Amino acid sequence: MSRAPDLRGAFLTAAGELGLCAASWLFLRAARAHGAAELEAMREVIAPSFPVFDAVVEAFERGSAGPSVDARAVLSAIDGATRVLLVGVEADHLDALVAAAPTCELALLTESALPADWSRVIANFGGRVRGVRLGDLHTFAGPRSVAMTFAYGVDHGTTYVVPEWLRAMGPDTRPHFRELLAWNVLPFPMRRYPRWLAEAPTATFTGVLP
Amino acid sequence: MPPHHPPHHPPHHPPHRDAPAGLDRERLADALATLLPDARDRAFITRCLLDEGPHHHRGASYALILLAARALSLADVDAVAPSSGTPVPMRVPPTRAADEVPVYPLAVPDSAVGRIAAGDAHLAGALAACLVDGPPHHALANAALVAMLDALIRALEARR
Repeated sequence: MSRAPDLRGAFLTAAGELGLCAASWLFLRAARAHGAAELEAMREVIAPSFPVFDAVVEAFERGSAGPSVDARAVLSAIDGATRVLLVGVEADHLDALVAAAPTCELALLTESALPADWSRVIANFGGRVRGVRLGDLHTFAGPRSVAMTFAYGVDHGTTYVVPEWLRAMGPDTRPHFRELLAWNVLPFPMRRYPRWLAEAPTATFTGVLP
Repeated sequence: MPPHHPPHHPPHHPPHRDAPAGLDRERLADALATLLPDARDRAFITRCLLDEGPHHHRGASYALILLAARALSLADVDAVAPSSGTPVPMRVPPTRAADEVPVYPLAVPDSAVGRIAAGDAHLAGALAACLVDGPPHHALANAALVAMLDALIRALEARR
């Protein structure tokens, strides 16, 4: 009996609550612990639906050791900000930001095409992050407010982001935030069509951070 | 005799134009430097003026602010942030009390509207409200321009 649907479903759940990149590294390590053949079998099942996983495995096989989370560039970009609105989940990066920015008020948009139990996601941050709905984004508006999402690569003026960024940062909300940032969590190219992601012109961000 | 029908005039729509090529972001930011001494504030307002809102407004605001900056330069005057004024509010849904509405770091100086209203505080308030009304790119250009003109007028008055 094929394990494929279960594996894809498990990855979908993990990606929704941890992020596409964080889930990719988690699953990669779990499979790799059982050998290269197990990882290759997992790749055949997951990669066609999740190009971020495919890119992470490709990078791993080319020698990448894992996600490198360095919040310094982000901290510099949000210097002086009192509020940071986050669009999209990447657990490793969010954990680093929460630890590194203890005085910032943080909110996470609780909307995603990926399934997520948002109360469980928010609970992971020990009270430092509150959930905010699409209709309540204006509660985070301000001259010291920053909106930030995660980028899954930058290619010829295009930045790949979760589609919720495009829903959230319309012409009405863009002027409500001092900075519009993308934190690049996937410094490797995707070889497959970027399912689950959307293209945003890089010029529409005030900064794309490594 | 058939009723007279006026000739059909299409409804007026402003022409859609691309933002003019060649708008120099640094030049506009420099023109706002004394009004907005904080670099991040200045970058924020410059973005609102040049990257947000209708394309024709971007060129219009650019031209007006740079002309005002040129006049200030000729008069050897700096426009500085007003000590008292009406800040440009962010256009958020009206669910907050007025004093909780976030504002941009740019304001219409009280001295500018006070000069026009000649002691009529109600009129001065109404004029300031008009100047900061509307979408942010528009209201911010108003506030910048009024602050620059106010600085120029004060300097010229002092030299008379």
